[in-house]
Amino acid sequence: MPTKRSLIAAALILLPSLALAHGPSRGPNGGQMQDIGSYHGELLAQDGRLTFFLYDTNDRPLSATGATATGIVLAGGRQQTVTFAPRPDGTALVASGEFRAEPGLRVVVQLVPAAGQPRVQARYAPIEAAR
Amino acid sequence: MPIRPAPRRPQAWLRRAVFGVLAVLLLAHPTAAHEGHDHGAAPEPVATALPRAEAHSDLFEIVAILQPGGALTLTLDRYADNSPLDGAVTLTLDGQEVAAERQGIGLFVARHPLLERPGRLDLVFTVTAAEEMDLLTATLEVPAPAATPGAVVEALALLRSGAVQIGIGLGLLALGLLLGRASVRRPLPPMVEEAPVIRPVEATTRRAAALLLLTAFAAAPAGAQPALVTGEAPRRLQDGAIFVPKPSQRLLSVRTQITEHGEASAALRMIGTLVPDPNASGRVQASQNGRLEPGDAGFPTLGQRVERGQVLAYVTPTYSAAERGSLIQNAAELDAQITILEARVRRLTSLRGTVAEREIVDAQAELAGARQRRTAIQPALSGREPLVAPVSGIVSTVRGAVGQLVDSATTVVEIVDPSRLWVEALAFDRAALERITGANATLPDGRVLDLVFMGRGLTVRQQAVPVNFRVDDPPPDAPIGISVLVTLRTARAVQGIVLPADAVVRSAEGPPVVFEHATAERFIPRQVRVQPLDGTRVVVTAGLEPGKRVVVQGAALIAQVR
Repeated sequence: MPTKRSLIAAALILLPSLALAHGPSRGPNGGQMQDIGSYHGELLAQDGRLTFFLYDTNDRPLSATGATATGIVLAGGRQQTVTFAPRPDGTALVASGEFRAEPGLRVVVQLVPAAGQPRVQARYAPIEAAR
Repeated sequence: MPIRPAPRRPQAWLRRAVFGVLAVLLLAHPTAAHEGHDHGAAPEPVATALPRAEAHSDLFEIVAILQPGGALTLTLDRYADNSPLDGAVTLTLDGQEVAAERQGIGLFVARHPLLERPGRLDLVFTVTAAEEMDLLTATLEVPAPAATPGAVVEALALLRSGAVQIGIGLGLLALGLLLGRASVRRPLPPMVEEAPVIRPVEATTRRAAALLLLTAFAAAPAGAQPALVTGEAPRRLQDGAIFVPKPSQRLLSVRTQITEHGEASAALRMIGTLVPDPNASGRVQASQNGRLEPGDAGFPTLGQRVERGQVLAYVTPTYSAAERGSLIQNAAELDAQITILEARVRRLTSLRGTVAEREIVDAQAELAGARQRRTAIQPALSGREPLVAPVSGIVSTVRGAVGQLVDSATTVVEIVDPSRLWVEALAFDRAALERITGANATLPDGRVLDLVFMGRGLTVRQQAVPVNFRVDDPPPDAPIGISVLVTLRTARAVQGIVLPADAVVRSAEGPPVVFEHATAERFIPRQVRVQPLDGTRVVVTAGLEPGKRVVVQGAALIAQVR
């Protein structure tokens, strides 16, 4: 039975490898970057607010108009579903909910990039644990 | 005469009918067998037999397997060491939350109508284990149910269904009985020239009836066979990786470890022998030829605890006739001499004062000497020699039996103190012996004993230096005389990834390999260069990168997967 310390150690060892596996983990807006379907998505988390930016495979920003997304947010031991809406300028999708931007925050974004396209999803741990 | 053709016509018709039904049944059976075979081992290009999805975070690893019945089996393990993790899993399918039912430690089952709908299905797992919570995502491809188009296939399926088969079986049974009755020999009118012709027909109808009965019974079990869920077997994939389903990993209790760079002192290996401590072991030998007799507490037995000075056995000397004769002669001479000397001492003592005192003393000394010689000869004549334990310990060898004749210098009993053992090894690398920092020995059964360096010989034996170690705290059942693997730790340091020795297995091709746990159910053999560290650990100096998951328990079992 591994101790909590060894688990933490394992996590610490693992973090760099995860980061390597997913390439640059930080996007231009300071959020976490992940592959989402055939796109790249950046999720920026603040207290009570999620902002989602969509990029193509070459990391060129895409317009978020026409895209719909829902998010499953796990924070503080509670799970909630939030709905993203496009920002008026069309550059990003935003959602709000009751959560705090903590290292334990996990968000699953389920995105329909455009009407008629299949839904894709990605998992985010937007707040990095303090080293 | 009009009666004759009548019984023959129905028989011919029946025969044709029987063969027809038989043909249908025989045709139906191969297809049934083929279908059953297909279900078990459908050759698929992908590694997995059942549709599955997997996801992991830095803490959890979850594998979802869609069972044929539409139930989704979930296994939850620790990501780092692959041990099952108790907790709770909730599934989110299309925004609907489905709680997975806990079946055991780290094993859950979820059911939902969406799981039976073919197509892509996005899964979100909410994992709770103790203090930790996490969200994991995966995508499951639910396959379309196996297509069975065409009326022929449907008809065959109908034919294969249990009720229909039982019906056919009963029908055939009735038919067989009818045939049997029809073929009963009847008294024929006289003057019939074709009478012998009927006989073979009867025989064939009977045989056909028996065959029908058999077929009817054979048809029944085929329908009763239940639709078994075939277990997925571990297998080696085309690219050399090994697919081990999660349930099999649980059975083999496969455990992993995340590799980490480290530093360890280099080690040197040599073969040694477990020997008793020279100061705590002894041999019991007879000093003369004789016959063994049991000691006061019986003849010593293996494993018996004996104390120093305890009489283990007696040796009664055996002599040839000539030896015995000379002994008796000596004794008789001594006895006679003693008698003469006694008389002389008495005479001289009574004349004390008139004879010189020196003469009396001389006579007395002579008598004492003769008596001593007589005493010394006595045990040889009639006594027996006690065999005494030289040290306290356990009887480890007994070579002899009561009444056995032993030569002098025969080892009758060996005594060993099991708490004091040494290891004697031969070191071929003399330079390495200068910087020994520690040593241990590995027994053939895998136990590791700590050793303390005691000393080394200066004379080479078989071109090697004999080295002695004391075993620190030896186990009570340590087999003495067995070969052990001695690992010497030296002051030289090596860089690499330290792993348990069990993680490294020898591949079929020869070089040592470790198994990297690449994804949840895939293990990739990695050729490595290893150096021994001590009895239980090795250091991988090449072939493995840090931060990978490596199998440290059950590697030998994975290596056996074909």
